Amino acid sequence: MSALRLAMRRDPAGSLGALLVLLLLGFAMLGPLVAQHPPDAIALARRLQPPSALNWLGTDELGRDVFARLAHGAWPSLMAALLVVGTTVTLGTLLGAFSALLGGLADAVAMRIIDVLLAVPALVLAMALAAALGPSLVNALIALVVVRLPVFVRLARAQALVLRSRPFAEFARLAGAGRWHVLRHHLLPNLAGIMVVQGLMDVAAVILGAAALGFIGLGAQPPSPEWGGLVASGRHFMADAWWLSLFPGLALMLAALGFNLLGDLVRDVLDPRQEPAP
Amino acid sequence: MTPLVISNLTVCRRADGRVLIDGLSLSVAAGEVVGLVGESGSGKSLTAMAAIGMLPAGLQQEAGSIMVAGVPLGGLATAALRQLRQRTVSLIFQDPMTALCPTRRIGAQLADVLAVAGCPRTDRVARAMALLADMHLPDPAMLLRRYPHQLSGGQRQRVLIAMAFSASPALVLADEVTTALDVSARAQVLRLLVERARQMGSGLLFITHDLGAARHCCDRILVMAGGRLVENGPAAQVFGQPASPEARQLLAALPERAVPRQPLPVGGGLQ
Amino acid sequence: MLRRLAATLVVLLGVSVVTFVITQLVPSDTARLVAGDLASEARVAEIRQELGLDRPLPVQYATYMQRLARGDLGVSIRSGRPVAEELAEALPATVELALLAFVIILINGLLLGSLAALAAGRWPDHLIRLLSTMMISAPTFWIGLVLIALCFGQLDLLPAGGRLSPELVPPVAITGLYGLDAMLAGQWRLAGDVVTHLLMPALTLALAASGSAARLVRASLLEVLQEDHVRRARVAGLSEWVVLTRYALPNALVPFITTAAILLADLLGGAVVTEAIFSWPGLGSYTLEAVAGLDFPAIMGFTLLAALFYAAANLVVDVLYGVVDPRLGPA
Repeated sequence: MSALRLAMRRDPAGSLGALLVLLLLGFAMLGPLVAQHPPDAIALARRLQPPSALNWLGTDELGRDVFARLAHGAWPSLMAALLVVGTTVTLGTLLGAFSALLGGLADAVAMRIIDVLLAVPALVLAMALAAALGPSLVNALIALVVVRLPVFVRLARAQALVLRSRPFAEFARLAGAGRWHVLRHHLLPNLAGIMVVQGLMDVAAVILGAAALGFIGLGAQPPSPEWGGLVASGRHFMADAWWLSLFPGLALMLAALGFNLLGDLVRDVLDPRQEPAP
Repeated sequence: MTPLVISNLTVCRRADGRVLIDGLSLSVAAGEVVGLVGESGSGKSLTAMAAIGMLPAGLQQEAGSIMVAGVPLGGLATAALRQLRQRTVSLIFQDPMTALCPTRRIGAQLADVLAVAGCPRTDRVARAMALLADMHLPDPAMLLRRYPHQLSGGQRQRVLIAMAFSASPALVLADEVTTALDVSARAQVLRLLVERARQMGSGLLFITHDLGAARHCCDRILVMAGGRLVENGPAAQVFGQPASPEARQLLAALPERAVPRQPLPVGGGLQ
Repeated sequence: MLRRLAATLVVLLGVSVVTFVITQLVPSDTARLVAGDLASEARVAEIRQELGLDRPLPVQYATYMQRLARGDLGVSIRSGRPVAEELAEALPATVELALLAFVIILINGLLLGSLAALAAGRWPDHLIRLLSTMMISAPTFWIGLVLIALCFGQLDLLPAGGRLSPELVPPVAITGLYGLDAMLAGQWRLAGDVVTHLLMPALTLALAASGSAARLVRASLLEVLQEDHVRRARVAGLSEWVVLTRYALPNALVPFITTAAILLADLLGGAVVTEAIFSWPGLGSYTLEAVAGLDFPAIMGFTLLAALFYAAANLVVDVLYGVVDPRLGPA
C-alpha cells in the first residue's frame, strides 16, 4: 500500500496509465457479463435513445444497446492490437537478429527494403495494403503488421549488432558455436527485454491505427462492435445522437492513453539512463 | 568593502544529511589573489557555487553567512541576486569547450553580458573588442563574428575571462579554469587571469588542482579537506611550512619540493 | 549531397516497386472495373489488352516505369482523367491545411514543451505531460467528429466542412491557397471565411503531433538546460527570458528540426482521415475515394507523391542542419 502511494507520488501519470490499462482489461472481461442486453439485439422501437437506466450509454440507430456493444467490442479491439504488436515484436526481433548475423548482401537488401517501407506514410501504406487485400479485420491487421514492422527490425538489428560484439557472444563464436547457437542462446534472450518494452510503447499507436482503418471502413466489418467501426457508424447521427460516437471514441482514447502512460512508466523503470518523464 | 567574506558556512545534502562543507570561514580582499586547493570532493567547487548563490538542487545551507561586497546572499530575492551576478560577482567555468553557447556568435554572447552590466547598445561592439584585445586575442573584430567551435580551447577560455571581467566585478571565482586546457595554453591563460584581476582590483578566488600554479601566482593559499578549511596563510608559508597533516599530505604530491618530515605543532588553522 | 540524392532515388524506385506489387495483390479485375459490370466478356478482354494487363508482370512494370519517367502517373479508373492532373488539383487544399496545422503544432510544441521543461517535476509539468499524452492518444477521426458536434452542431460557431461557404466564389488562383490568394487580392471577408473553414480541420490534424512535439521539446530542453553554457549564462545574471530564448531553445530545437520536416511531409501525405471528416477537397479525400473505388493508378500516384514529400523533407533537413547548427555548416 505504501509502495503504491510512493509510486503515485513519484510518477502520478505512469500510475494513472497502469490503472487505466487495468480498468480496460476489467471492462473487457466483466463488461459483457454486466451488460443488460446482448450486443446485437435489434429493437427498432427503442432506436437512438439517449443514455438512461435502461440503456446506460443509449441505443444506436437499430435500437442496440451502446454499452453492450462497447463491452463486447473491447476484447476484439484490444486483442487485435496485442496480436499485431506480438507479431511485429516476434517477427521484428527474428528478422533484425538474422539480418545482423548474416550481414553482407542479405543485410543490405533487407535494410533498403526497410528504408522503402519507411518512406511511405504509415496510414497511407496500411490503407493501400488493406484496400488491395480487401476490407476485413484480418487484412487490416496484416497491413498494420507490415507498417509497424520496419521500426522493430531496425531496432532489433542495431541491438543485435551491439550484442554480437560483446565479449560473451564473441567468446561463444571463438569457441566454435554456430550462428544458430549464438542467435538462440546469446542474442534472442538479451534482445527480448528491449523489444518487449518497445512493443508496449507501440500498443497505443496500433489501437489507434486499427481504429482508423475501421473508421475508414477497411477494418472489422459491421455488425462487429469494433470500436473504430462504432465511431464511424455513429458519425451520421452525431447531431442528434452524440452518445453513439462519443463513448466508443472516449474508450479508444482512454485505452491509448493508458498504454502510452504505462509504456513511459515501464521504459523509465527499465532504462533509467533516458530522461525520465516527470 | 571586502569582496568575499564567508563565515562559518555549513552545507548539507538534504537526502541523507551528509555534511559537505563544515563550518567554513574565509575572506578574499580587494585586489587579492587567493588560491583554494584541496583534493577532489573536498568542497572547493561547492564553495564557489555557494558564493555565487547557485548551490545545486538537493543541497542546503545549514548555517553561516556569505557576504559578497558587503551584501549578504542569504535571503536575497531572485532579482537582487541576478543584479549581484550582473555587476559584482562572476564565475569562470572549468571547461571552455562547453561554457559558450554553440549556436551563438562570440560577439552576441559578449553583448548579452555587457547589456546586463549596463553598457549602452551603441557602445557594446567597441567595448567587446576592447575586452578581447585586453585578453591579447588577435583580430577582435573578426572574433566577434566567430562561433565558439571555430576557436581553440585557450582562446575560448580567454573569451570567458573577458566576459567575467566585463562589468569590473568586485569578486571573480575561477573554478579549475586551466584544467581542461592544453599545457601550452595554461600559462598564458593563468597569467592573463591574474593580471586582469590585479588591474581591476577585483578579488580573485582561484580554485585549482594545480599546486604549482597556485604557488606561483597566489598571494594567499587556502587548503580544504573534507569540507573544512585546514590551512590558511601566505603562499610561501603554506608551501614552506604547512601546519596541518592534510596539507602536508596534499603538498607531498608536489614534485619540486620535499615536505618537512618533522611535524610542526598543529595550530588549529591560522584563520 | 550527390550520394544523398542517389540514395533518395533508390528509395523512390523501391516505393514504385512496392506500389506496383500492391496493385498486383488486388483480387479484383481492373479491366472488369474499367469496363463496368454490364460489359461483355469480349469487351473486358479488349480493355485488358488496351491497358496491357494481359502481358507478363515485369513487362507491365517496365511500361509503368517508362510512363512514370515522363511524369505520367496513369489514368484514373473512376474519372478517366490523368492521375497527375487530379493530384495537382487536390494539392493546394492539402498544402493550405497542412501549413496551418504545422504552425499550430510548432506553437503548441514550443509553448507546452518549454513550460513543462521549466517546471520539470512540478505540477505544471505533470499536467502538461498528461495533456500531451492525451493529445497523442485521442483518435483523430473522433476528435474531428466531436469538434464538429460542438463548434458547428451545438455552438454554431464554425462551418462543418469544405474550403469555402457555398455562396462565395474562390479567389483568383495565384498560389492555390485560398487564404493567401484572398489576402493578396485584398478580399478580406473572403479570407476570413477561408480561415473559419480551416480552423477545425487544422486543429484536428495538429492535435496528435502537438502532443509529440511538446514531449520532444521538453525532453530536449531539459537536457540543454543542464548544459554548462546555460548555467554560465544564468550565473552571468542574464534574465531567464534571454537564457531561454537565446541560449537554451536554439540548441534544444536542433534535434527538433528533423522531426519538424518529416512532420510536414507526414501532414501533406497523411491528412486522409481529417480531410474525409471535414469534406476537405485535398489529397486525403482524393485517396480515400480512390481506395473506396479500388482506383489503383490513383492510389499508387498518391503513394508515390507522399514518398516524394518524405524524400524532399529528408533533403531539406540536411540543408537546414547546416543553417541552424553552425558546427555543421560551411566553416
